[in-house]
Amino acid sequence: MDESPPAAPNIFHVTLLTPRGEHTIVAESEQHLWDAAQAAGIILPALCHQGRCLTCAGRLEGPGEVDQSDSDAYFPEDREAGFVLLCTGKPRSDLRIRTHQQHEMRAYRRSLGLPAPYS
Amino acid sequence: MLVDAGLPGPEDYMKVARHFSGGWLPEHLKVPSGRLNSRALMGLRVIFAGNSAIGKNYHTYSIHILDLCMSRALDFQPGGNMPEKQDTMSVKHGDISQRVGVEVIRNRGVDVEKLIKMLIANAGAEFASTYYYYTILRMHLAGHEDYKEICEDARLEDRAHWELIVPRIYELGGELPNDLKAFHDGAGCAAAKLPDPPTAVNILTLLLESERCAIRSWQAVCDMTFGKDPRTYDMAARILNEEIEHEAWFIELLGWERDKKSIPSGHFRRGEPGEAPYSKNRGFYIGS
Repeated sequence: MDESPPAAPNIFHVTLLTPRGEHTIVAESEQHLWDAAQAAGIILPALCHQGRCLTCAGRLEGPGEVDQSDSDAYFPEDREAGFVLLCTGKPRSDLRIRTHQQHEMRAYRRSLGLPAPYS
Repeated sequence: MLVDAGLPGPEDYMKVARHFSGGWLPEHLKVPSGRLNSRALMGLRVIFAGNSAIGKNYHTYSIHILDLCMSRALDFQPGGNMPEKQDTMSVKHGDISQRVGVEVIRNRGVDVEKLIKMLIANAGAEFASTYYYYTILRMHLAGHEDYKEICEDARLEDRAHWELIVPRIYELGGELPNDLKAFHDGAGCAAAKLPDPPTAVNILTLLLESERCAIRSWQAVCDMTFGKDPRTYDMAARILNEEIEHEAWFIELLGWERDKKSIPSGHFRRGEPGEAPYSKNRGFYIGS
């Protein structure tokens, strides 16, 4: 039986580019980015909180890795275009994310014939 | 304290408005005197309700908003910014290409096209994400007859919601996708697919999270239509009432099944499975 203490979560710095300005927050590796923002007093758009409706969409500006395994619907094409779903995305590196991208992500999904709820 | 003792003046309005809106106050809410009139105040309430940050504490804020409504500083000039009969003039006599029932809510600021999209996504969630998949979930609650019955209530009430939403979509000039897969893919909530393994705890957790998504979705419709579109608001509020009950039921059941905790939901039995007291406008407790 392994009695070693659980590994401490990694901490990442996440810069959010919101319509009201730029904010840098810290997020743990097992924390959803939306929750980390909320904990820092930044309320971002969200609706389903299941990684489906695209209301919480953001877009990476620069390199970075986000774990979207908690999302209900996330496609390789989304990752290629840098779109992330903040309500169910967990950081795997420091990140720089432009928030409020729901309209852009829905338009992108539609252009590829992929599901885009609320559009 | 946001408003000092005594009657608030125009500056208080602006101060409160800036506070509530995080410093952002749309131009169209201002009137030449710098004072918010009654219509602007209604718009402000809707904005607060639609702002997730504000919405969390809406009841707290609403007290202050009510203070402002009651104050002498309000501009209640008859006519004011609310033009009389202009709503109906936008649709010509005998014109069947437009609906007064749509134009009146558009004139009050409802983005009708967006509302239709929201209703279709919510209809998809009720019918495809929950009603259909709840049928399967119910089948796998063998040995838990009480859970089965509650799941059945939620399942049938979600179907009732679907039935309630569809006419409103068409009334507003929208239509359902003529493709079931497209409808399913456009649903605003995740499909409640049978979990692996299909234990009671896993199923109840799934049911709970499905109801939570529904609550968020219908709250958004309420926020969007409050004070502007009473027909959609009434429908959304009725559905929201039942989704909130469903969440309470599944918290109670999951609390017991998983944590052996008693967390009463306040649930009374439905008169018959899927009674839907709000969305079918039935009595809360039928039978003797």
